[in-house]
Amino acid sequence: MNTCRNEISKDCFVVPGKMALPNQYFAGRVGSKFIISLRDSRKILGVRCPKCKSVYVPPLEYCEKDMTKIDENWVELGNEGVLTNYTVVNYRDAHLPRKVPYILGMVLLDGAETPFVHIVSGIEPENVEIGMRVKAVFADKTTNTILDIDHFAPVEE
Amino acid sequence: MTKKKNRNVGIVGIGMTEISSHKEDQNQPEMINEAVRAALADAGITLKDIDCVVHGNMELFEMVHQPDLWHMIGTGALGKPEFRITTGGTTGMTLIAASDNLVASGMYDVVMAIGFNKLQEAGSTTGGITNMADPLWYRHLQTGALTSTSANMTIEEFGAERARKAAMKHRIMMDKHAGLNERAHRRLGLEYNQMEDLMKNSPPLIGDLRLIHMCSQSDGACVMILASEEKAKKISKKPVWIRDHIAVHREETASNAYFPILSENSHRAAARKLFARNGITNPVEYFDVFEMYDPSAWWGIEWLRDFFLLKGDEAIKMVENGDWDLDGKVPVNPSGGVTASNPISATAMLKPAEVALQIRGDAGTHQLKREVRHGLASGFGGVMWTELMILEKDLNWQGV
Amino acid sequence: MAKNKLNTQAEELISIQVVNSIDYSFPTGPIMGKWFQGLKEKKFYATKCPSCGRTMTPPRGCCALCVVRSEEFVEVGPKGTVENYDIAYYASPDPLTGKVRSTPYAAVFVRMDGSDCDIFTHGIKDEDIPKLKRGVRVRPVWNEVRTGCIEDMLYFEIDA
Ligand SMILES: [Zn+2]
Ligand SMILES: [Zn+2]
Repeated sequence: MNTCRNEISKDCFVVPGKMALPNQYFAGRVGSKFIISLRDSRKILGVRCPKCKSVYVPPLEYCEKDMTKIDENWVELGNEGVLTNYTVVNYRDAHLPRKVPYILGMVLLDGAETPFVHIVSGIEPENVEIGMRVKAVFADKTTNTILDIDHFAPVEE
Repeated sequence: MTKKKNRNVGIVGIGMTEISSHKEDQNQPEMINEAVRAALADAGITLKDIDCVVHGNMELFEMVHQPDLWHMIGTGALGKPEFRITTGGTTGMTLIAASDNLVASGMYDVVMAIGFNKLQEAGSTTGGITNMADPLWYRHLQTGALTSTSANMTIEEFGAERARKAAMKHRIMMDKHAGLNERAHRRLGLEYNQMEDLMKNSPPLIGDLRLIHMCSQSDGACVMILASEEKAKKISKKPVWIRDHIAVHREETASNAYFPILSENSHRAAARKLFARNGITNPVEYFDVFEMYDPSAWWGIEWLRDFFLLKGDEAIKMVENGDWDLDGKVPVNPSGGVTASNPISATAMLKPAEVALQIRGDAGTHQLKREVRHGLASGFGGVMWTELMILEKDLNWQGV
Repeated sequence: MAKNKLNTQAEELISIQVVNSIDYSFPTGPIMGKWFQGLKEKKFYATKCPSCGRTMTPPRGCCALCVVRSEEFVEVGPKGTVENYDIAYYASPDPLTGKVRSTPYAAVFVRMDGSDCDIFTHGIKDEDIPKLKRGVRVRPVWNEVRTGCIEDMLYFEIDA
């Protein structure tokens, strides 16, 4: 490949490279309680700020708006909610968690204030609608991550 | 080159987490939030009083890109202007330099600077640093920030025995300082009678650089709140004034040849220019404390010579005489320095933070006995990039 | 650190381990490209500043002191002087492969003959590691197969 716009461009070329490094990430005390609840009790927990009444899911230790300590104020949210927006992932890439096409949705859980991003499955992309009700379907095998919710599926009415 | 500030800027709030190697119970925004709350509490203000947030780390270590975005839940930057700065090991000090400029310019009255790294999340800090080397021709050989080039030169100049003893004495002195600082990460309880043993038996890393000489790998966050003179006097009973700061870079492509190739390294150039424009002719006499970014004991003894514009063996002699000790001519690193605590992008902010606490008299268990009026702080990173900053107790240098 | 009453017994703290691995491609540009073409032909090139006249190795397209373009190439080396060196006993991961190297190995920072500033870094032959000293003279040992990359040169060896 030669893309130099220069009279000495004959010397340009491209060298392949790579960056591979191990990392680890900690959910922290509050995040761990959230994940463990998904894994062991199949319940989605949030926290409510007693001061401004905001409900956060995933949970926070301190309210991002007023710095109130909120991590003891757990609330059990329903495992159902409303799809407030979505996108259909059509491009393939090694890092993606599902075969394409799949739906990435924003789910406003009952009792929550801000939507929660997850995979929506069990429905064809062309049939998805904003406003439809969805429910969490939990994974058979735990990964100790947010993917202990396998996906959200339409609620049959 | 003179630098005139549009208006004076004071440090009004300082917050830091405990520095440690393990923070499994906090995620990144929670760790930052701890320091944010501490700084707000120290200043006695709330988030409403903050006009702008400046956020920075070396994202290579955590491999989380655009952390300013998802850290919003911990930084308190919601709905506020925010800048992100990353300048390698210097990040913490660049954050303060930039915040100082933002306030001095008149752009914002109160700015909060946040520096952090959670190096436990980096599987290999040294491996990460390797990625900063030029991929085309140096990455395959780069050894992170580990190098013995400084040791090689010091040994050549002063002889192996004298050089090795000086480096180890500096290291043990740093550990003794860290022992007094309850926030310091590594407090090993070293004694001077262990010198010979450590010189022989500490595991070698690179050449004459041994494990004991090298900085730690730490988790931690530091937050400082800067305000315009008018606001600073209202917010704080004892604001600490940022008098001046300078950044100096090297120009060679030798990305990690950590030794001076040109006649003057970036530390000496920074000190020479900064002191000249502030009329400081005898820095050893002028400064009451120096918080130095000393990633290894070898660099520590080499750089003291540069920062204080000393010649020949003057700096090493001062190491030997204990002149850099807490009761010496210029106390160096009462915090314990970088060999004790190194949450990298907080590290260079911990330097001015520590100086400011010393000036305020709020350093607690490691408060210097002498009165601290004039402080110096340095940052170091990447390609021998130097940040050097002068902090003052009184607003009285304008006539200089 | 804030103590938290969420869970009083020894609590489980969740973490995940990942290896972040990303492929890149690095364009050399014409200046570094010329340098690598040089290695292919067992030659070392420097650029010469038209203003101050200094030569820079590896080459740069601009003299940072004079802030002018420096696109004239001159040949330097192939021998040089060791300005400094690092003997590694601690092996860090090689980010180009993710693998950990065997130790000890060494890097030498070499001022190529005819280069006024800066240094060129490469490895040194294992047998020469004990003989490393500042000021020692070295010469390159070339790879049989040369494709225009840093591995075109195997390492330096001491020029006895
Ligand atoms: Zn709230
Ligand atoms: Zn020039």
